[in-house]
Amino acid sequence: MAGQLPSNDDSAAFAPARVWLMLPTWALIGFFLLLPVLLMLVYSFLTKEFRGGVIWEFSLESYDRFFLDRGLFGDEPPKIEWTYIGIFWRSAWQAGLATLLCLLVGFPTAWFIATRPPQTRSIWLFLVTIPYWVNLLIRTVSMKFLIRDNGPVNELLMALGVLDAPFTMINTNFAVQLGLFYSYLPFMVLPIYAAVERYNFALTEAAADLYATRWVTLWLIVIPVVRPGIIAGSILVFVPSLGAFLAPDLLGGAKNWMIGSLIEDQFKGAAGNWPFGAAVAMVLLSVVLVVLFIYARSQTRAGAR
Amino acid sequence: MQLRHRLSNTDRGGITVTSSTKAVEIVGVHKHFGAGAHKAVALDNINLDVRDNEFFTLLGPSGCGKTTLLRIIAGFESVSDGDVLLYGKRLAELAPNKRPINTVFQNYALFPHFSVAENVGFGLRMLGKSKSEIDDRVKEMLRLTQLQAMAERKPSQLSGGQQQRVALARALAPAPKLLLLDEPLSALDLKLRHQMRIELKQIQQETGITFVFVTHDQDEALSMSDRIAVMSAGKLQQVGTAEEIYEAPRNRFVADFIGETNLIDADIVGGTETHPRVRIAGGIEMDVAGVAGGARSACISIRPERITLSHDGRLPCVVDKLVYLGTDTHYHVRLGDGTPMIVRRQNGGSDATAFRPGDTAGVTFDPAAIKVLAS
Ligand SMILES: Nc1ncnc2c1ncn2[C@@H]1O[C@H](COP(=O)(O)OP(=O)(O)OP(=O)(O)O)[C@@H](O)[C@H]1O
Ligand SMILES: [Mg+2]
Repeated sequence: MAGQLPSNDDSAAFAPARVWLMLPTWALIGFFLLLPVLLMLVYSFLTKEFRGGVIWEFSLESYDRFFLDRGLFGDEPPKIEWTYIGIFWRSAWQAGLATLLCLLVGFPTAWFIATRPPQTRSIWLFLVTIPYWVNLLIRTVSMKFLIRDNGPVNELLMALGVLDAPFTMINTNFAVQLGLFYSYLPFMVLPIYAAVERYNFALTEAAADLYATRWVTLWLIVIPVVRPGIIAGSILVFVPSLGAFLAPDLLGGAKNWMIGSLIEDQFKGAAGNWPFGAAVAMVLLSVVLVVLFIYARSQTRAGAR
Repeated sequence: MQLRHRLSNTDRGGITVTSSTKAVEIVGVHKHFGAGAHKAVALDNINLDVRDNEFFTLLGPSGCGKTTLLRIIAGFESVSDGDVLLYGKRLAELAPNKRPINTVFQNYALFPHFSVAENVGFGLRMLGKSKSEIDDRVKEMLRLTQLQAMAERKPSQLSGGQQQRVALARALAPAPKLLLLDEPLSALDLKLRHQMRIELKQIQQETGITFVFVTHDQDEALSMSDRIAVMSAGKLQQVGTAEEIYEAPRNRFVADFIGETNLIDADIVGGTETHPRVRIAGGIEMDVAGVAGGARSACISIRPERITLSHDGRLPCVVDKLVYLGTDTHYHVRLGDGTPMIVRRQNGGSDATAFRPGDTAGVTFDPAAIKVLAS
């Protein structure tokens, strides 16, 4: 570590001190990040015990169950098991769609806030974060009550004569989208706000000066320049949406399971299976890491250009 | 000259160059920001014309409204009152992106994610020119601004002077009718600034584009401009060639702001309206040119280089201090009644008689060197 720094006498003299100063950080990362992940990794390779615990015996059974279908008695030639990959796939597009919706609403919101006079910006930012003072579970349950068949939204629409019969929202993909969108919108707004706030508005004037229309300016100048904020926001929405379980559980019902619900069920449910839950979590983690890795690669390449 | 021919054939925003020699007409323009108690007047009844193919400079101290006027011409700011015409056409109806005007922004405002070539080609791309046409024109502009080697770089990989030239090339590429430049040289070091002055003037003459150039640096204004408009506190003080403004300042502000001068209070003791007789410190009276307008007293201006300091000078004085400036020396002297004056003497002349602080001497000046100023 010290060798990568410019090595003059001073920094060499401080090197031991620097190691000690880094210790709390490493301890924190090790204890709260690496250790739990390692534990999950180990568990995913253990054998399930009947009453929900584990037996300390190496086994590939969990991964086998996730990816392969060996028939009812385990003696047929292995085929690909689509059940869990299907749940995974649905999770990915639900999370992708939620990210897109958050972007479509979050970008104008962030733009609006960043272009207010400086004194009023903090008020708008505060308003965006207000829902976060309430627990996510409570907010999701409230949403459930709002959109049920005889909930206030349907009652109101029927009272206004817009609908004759209740419009079923609960237990649909729409409800899951609504839940995800509502839960993670601020994660999109805040990084984009930070990027737009640094945006040099003279660039917009320069584009207009050079005959660009408003839409062309937005597309060719504004979006590319604030792109880091857009990408950061998208990751911050996509990743937790992918593993979300509250919204799909409470709003989506049994048909609309996502990967987060599956994992939660393995650890909490009556028919719990810790090694399998750990294996699903490891697959999820790998997918997320691959996505982040591709993003990091594209960033360094853009930077090198 | 070949370039000029090609540029003059362009036509955008329904504006065609007519025989009219006026490129820009600014008619009774007022501009204020805010309202009520916070109302700030940025421009106060500005009337001026910029001629076709002219290098026109707006000169004035910080906050006098130069940028505001430029932004009004470009369309980024609206007028509170008045009109701006470009080749006889009212600009108020045209959005900024419809005006055949390009701007070199004070902080360049280069697109950070585009290469130099993409920046320079942006305007032509927006005008829907073909790829080959854009490429040719970009090459031509990069050659003109000596940036050929930088074409593929990003703005962040350029020095300040190079960025400035990219901004210039980008604004010139679409061959605008009018080019606005907002203190484009202010971020450069002295040497580069001097070099760019010559280059800018040369480019203006080669392309035949009308330039409106904003600066607060009087040397810059004097050395490049065909005509200069001096502004102060939102008002136009004087418009004229560099020589007119330097030699015949119309008022105290212009005389003081342009170059160095001695401003002395004088009594008007006779003479005619146009050739008043003034009495200055020490009771010396002389007939000078200038408009007194019936006033009893006036302020007169004498440039330091128009005064000679010698042992037998006409007005006795005491030398206070010397400021050595390389090519010349400034002598700060005091007249008999305590009026301070600055006298400039070229160094290395054959008649160089050394004066030291504390010496008594005399100053002499030609009445023709004196200007009576409206205060
Ligand atoms: N958007 C604005 N809101 C309020 N006042 C403004 C605004 N823009 C400019 N002003 C005021 O108008 C006056 C003229 O400003 P302007 O920017 O035109 O000055 P300038 O001559 O370009 O000065 P500088 O040489 O410092 O750039 C200043 O007093 C400034 O405070
Ligand atoms: Mg300015």
